[in-house]
Amino acid sequence: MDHQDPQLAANGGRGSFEVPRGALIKRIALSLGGLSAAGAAAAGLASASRSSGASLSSRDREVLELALKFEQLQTAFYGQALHGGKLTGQTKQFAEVVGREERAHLHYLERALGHAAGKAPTFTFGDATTNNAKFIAAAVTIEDTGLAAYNGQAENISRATLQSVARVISVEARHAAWARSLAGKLPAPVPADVPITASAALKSIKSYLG
Amino acid sequence: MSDTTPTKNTLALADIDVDGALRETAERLPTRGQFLRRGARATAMGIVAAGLLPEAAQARASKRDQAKANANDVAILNFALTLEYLQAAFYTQAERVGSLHGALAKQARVVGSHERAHVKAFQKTLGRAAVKSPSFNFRGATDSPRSFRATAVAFEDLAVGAYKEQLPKIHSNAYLAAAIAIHSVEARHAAWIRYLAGIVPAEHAFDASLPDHETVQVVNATHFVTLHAPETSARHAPAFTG
Repeated sequence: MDHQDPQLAANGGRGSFEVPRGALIKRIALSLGGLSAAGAAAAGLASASRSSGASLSSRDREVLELALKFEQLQTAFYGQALHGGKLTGQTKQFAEVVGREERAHLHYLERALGHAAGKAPTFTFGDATTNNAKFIAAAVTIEDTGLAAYNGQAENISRATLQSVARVISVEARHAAWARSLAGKLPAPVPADVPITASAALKSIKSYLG
Repeated sequence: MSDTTPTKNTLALADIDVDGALRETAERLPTRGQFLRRGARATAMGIVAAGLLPEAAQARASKRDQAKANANDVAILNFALTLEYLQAAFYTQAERVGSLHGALAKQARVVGSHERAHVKAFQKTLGRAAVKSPSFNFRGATDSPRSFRATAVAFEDLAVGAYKEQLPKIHSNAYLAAAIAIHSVEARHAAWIRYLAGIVPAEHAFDASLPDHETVQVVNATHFVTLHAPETSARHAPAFTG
C-alpha cells in the first residue's frame, strides 16, 4: 500500500463518492453525513441521558461500568502514546483521532451512568508507546479486545441501552480495523466477530494495571 | 425522486421496478410504534397476570405476542439478508470483472467472502422464510478501482447504519448475538475500504443508525436492484479467471 504515509482525509466521506451514480453519492452523503458528527453525538447523548442515572437497571449499569473501564484504558493508552511524542505520520494521526473519540465515549458513558468516572487507575503500557510499530501492535490488541467485550454484553443489556451503546460499538470496530490496517493485518479477519465474556474483559483490563 | 425514464432501452424493464425488493422487506419491518405498543402490551400483561384474566386467555395472549415477535424478527432478518445479497453480489461481480489489483483486490476477495457467508447464515437461519435474491445491475460501479472503491465505501457505511437501526428491535437474543457480530464486521469493512480510499476510517466518535426508509431510498437511488423476483439467482460463484 501507499506507505509514504500521507494523512488520511477527513472529508465526511463525501469527497470520495465519485461513482457513476450521482444520485447514490448525494443520497448517501446526505443521509450519512447529515446524521453524523455533532448530530449523532447529540442524539446519542440525549438518548443516553434520558435513560441516565436511576432509571438504568442494575444489570445495564454493571455493563456500562465495564464499558467505562475500557474507555478509561483506551483514553489513557492514546493519551500516554501522544504524550510520549514518539509517534509519527499516519500512526500519530490514528492516535489523535481515536484518542479523541475514546474520550468522547468516556464522557458519553459518564453521562449515561450519571456520575463521573472518577480518577482513572494508573495504566502501564510497557514499551508499547515508544515507537510506531509497538504502539500499533498494542492498539490492535486493545481495540479488538474492547470491541469483543462490547459485543459480548449486547444480549445482557436492555434494548434501549443497546440502542445508545451501539453507536459506540461500530466506532470501536472501525478503530480495530484501522489499527489492523496500519499493522499490515487483515482489518476484518472473520465474517462474524467473536465476543468475550465480562470476566475475560476484566482480566484484559487488569493486565494493564500498574 | 425516481426517474423511471430508462437511459438505455435494455434497462427499460429494470428501471420500472427499481424499488421492489428492499422496500418490500422494509415494509414488513416492525416500526418503533409497534415496538412501543408491544412494550405497553407486555406491561398490560403484567397487570393481567395479577389475576384479571383467566389463565387460558393469558396463555393465548402470550402466544400471540410470541408469534408477533417471531414475525418481526423474521422481517428484520429478511431485510438484513436483502442487504447482504446486494453486497455479496457487488463484491462477487467486482472479482469477476477483474478490474481490481493489489490491496483493493484483496479487500474485495475477503469482504466478498464475508458477505457471502452472511447471506448463507441468514438463509440457513430463516429456512423457507428466507426471501430470494433480487437481480442486480451495478451499472459500471465494479468496472474501475475508483468507482468500486467509492461505491464500497458508500455501501459499507450504509450497512453499518442499517444494521444499527435493527439491533434494538430484535426480540430473540440468539438473533441479536448474530446480528451484533455481523454489525461490527460491517463496521470493520467500512473502515477497511475507507483506509484504502484514503479517508479517515472512523471519522466520528458516534455512528448513527439509519432509518429503514432512508436505507431503502439510498439503495433505490442507485438503481442497482433490478428485478426482485428473479427466475434464476443473481449470485454466481466468482470467476477467478476473470
